[in-house]
Amino acid sequence: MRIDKDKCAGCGQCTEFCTLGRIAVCRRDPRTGKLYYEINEDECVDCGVCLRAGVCSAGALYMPAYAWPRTVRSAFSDPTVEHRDTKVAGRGTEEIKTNEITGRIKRGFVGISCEMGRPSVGARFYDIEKVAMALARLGVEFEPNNPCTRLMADPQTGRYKAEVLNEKVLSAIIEMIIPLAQLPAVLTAIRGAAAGVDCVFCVDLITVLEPGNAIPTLPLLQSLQWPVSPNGKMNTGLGRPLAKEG
Amino acid sequence: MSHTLHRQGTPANLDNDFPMHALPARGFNHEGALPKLKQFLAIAHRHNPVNLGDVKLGNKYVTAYDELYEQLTTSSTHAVLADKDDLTALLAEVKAADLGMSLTISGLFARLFACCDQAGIQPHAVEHSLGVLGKTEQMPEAEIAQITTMCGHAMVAQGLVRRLIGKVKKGEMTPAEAGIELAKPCRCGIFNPARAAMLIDEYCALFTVTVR
Ligand code: SF4
Ligand code: SF4
Repeated sequence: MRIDKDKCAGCGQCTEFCTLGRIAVCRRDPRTGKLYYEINEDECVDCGVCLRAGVCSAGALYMPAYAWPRTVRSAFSDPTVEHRDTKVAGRGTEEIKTNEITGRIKRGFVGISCEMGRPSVGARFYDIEKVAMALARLGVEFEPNNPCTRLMADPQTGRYKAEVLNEKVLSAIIEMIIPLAQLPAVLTAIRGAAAGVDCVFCVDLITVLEPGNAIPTLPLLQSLQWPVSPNGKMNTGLGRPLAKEG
Repeated sequence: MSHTLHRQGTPANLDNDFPMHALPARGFNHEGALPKLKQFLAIAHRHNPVNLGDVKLGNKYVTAYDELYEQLTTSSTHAVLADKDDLTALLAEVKAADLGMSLTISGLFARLFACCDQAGIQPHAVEHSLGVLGKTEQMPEAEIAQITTMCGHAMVAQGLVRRLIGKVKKGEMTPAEAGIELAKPCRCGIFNPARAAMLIDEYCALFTVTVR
């Protein structure tokens, strides 16, 4: 995203809509003394929120026609933009949302994701790669129908395409399905990788319920002293046709 | 994206927040899903939703309900309720309608299990948030994050929250109006403006107004 400095009236309204906060600075043109705002284009993730807010009466904000690899920024940051480069529709997979129909995650397995950059910080692919490589060393298989996986040069090692490494996005999801027994090793690797990144990420864990609404992952999480939020997400099982549990 | 999973807050202020989405599964029941998604939207509309939406059309504060209903797309259909009894009634009605669409709801697990039980529904799976790792000092403070995390795509900016707290403090806007302004950038309509209003009202005592 850019601001046309000649049009900008220096009001600062758009900057309050910036999802990352504080990535635009106020400058004064030394020749004319006029105030204008300038977006730090290297930090901007092209989410488009400032533009969609429609607060710029001067018409100074604009999204340039960026080329690859810059285009991955809006694809991962703006929910109104499709993933053309990765050839995957939507943001990620349907994960828990349709699991009773698809049976993607079965009993004895868990779905686990690292939502890199989330919340409100953003992440560069070189940091996303650090987490992916730590997981790849455990032999996990990344979800093939996930746009983040499609940007990997080698899903066996978790290496990304060199040209995207410096691109920054609002969030990109590293996603996998693993046997429940592998969960402690995977969570330990995630904790280790977290120490080496210059961003934040959220961790998600999907579990099929046992009879009586028992949650088989909870004892493991307790043994790892991993804090669990009292709130989360639930698939109510109302979808049809129901998947056959293997 | 698990965009309703990572809402931050206290058990007390999360107990009036039930974002949900109905959606078809690609390759399974996607074809012919639109009338069923519309039926879900109509059911949700009858149970006092504080938000409704579709990522392509926007939420109910930028697109009127009738337009949402008429132009709904075959994607994820979102609604947010703010009351457990409304949720139980909605669940019972969706079950009776036998739409066959997957329905995912977020909230406090104990509350969700209880509402499903009352509505005669056996839930299938849960997704836990295992928290935020990495350089968490780069995140906005907890109070601001309780509001911004209500949009899972992170479209609600911390700067906007701060500005609206200032406006409410100066009497230029009510907390309810601020909640609706904050709901607008969240395209899908999973942001809960009623909870945001309650939080902003609380924060007026905590935040000072800075003059830029
Ligand atoms: S496009 Fe997004 S990240 Fe870039 S300046 Fe606008 S709001 Fe901020
Ligand atoms: S809203 Fe427009 S005029 Fe105001 S600072 Fe932003 S670009 Fe400049």
